[in-house]
Amino acid sequence: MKNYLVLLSFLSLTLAGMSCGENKDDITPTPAPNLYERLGGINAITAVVDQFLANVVADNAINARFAATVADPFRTQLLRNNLIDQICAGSGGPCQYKGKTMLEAHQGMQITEAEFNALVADLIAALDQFNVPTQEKNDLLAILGPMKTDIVDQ
Amino acid sequence: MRKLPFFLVLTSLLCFAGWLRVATPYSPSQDLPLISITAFEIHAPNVVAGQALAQAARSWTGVTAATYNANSGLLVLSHTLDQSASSLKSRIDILNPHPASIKVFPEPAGAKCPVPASALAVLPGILLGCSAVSLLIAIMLFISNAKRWIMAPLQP
Repeated sequence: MKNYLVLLSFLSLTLAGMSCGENKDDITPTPAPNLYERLGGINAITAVVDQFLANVVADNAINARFAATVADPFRTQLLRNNLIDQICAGSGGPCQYKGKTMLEAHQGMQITEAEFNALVADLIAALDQFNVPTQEKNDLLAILGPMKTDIVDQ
Repeated sequence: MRKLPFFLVLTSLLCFAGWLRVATPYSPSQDLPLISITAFEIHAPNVVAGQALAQAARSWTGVTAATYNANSGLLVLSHTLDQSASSLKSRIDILNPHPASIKVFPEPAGAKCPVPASALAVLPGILLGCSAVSLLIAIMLFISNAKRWIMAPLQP
């Protein structure tokens, strides 16, 4: 008798659950994936950043700016992790950018517009290397674009 | 002697405050393997050969990125620290008709940070260790002194 009651209550709960599932008002819409998820998460961002840094070091237009960083593995690591954190945080990922502000980091460097454009071209080449879709590429560049005023001619 | 635990607690607090200031919050990038970037002058016979070499290098163990820039003639590899530049050079030399050389960039002009980046990297650990050790010694001294104070009236 006890088992029968347990079975009956289980069935009634299951039916109640099914009927609730049919109620369209209760269906919460799945949130659209943010840019971090659309880019592929931390591993995909890391792959793009590594490719970007390789492109920059191979680029004679700007590689002199990174000579000291490349010569020191600790500085290379710091720059790489800061770039990953910046893209990850800016795209809505679970990271926190811990580096200097763009203005602080580029103060006194007198970076020209041509150098900035060369850097952006190297980033786009890295994104293209991994076939990042146009929408995601534009969304990422839109996040990084406003930093230009803090980087150029400081 | 009685002031020593007080100074140790003060040292511990100062070290802890320093650690709070320099310690960085956790980020998934901290879990990534460390990398180094090495540039090679490869003197590739043509652009296609240089790009083919970069393509081949991408599949090598420990290489996280590779690129060939035809304007600079540089093949740049981003690689994990277990892959030395010389071992990568020997792998390049197998595939390239001309021997590659490791590019050494000229020292940039201007002021340099007097503290090496490697020292800055270990600073949070040193400060946290200083805080913990100071506090531990202070507690041990305090317990030792307290025992003496408690036992003193009982002694004849």
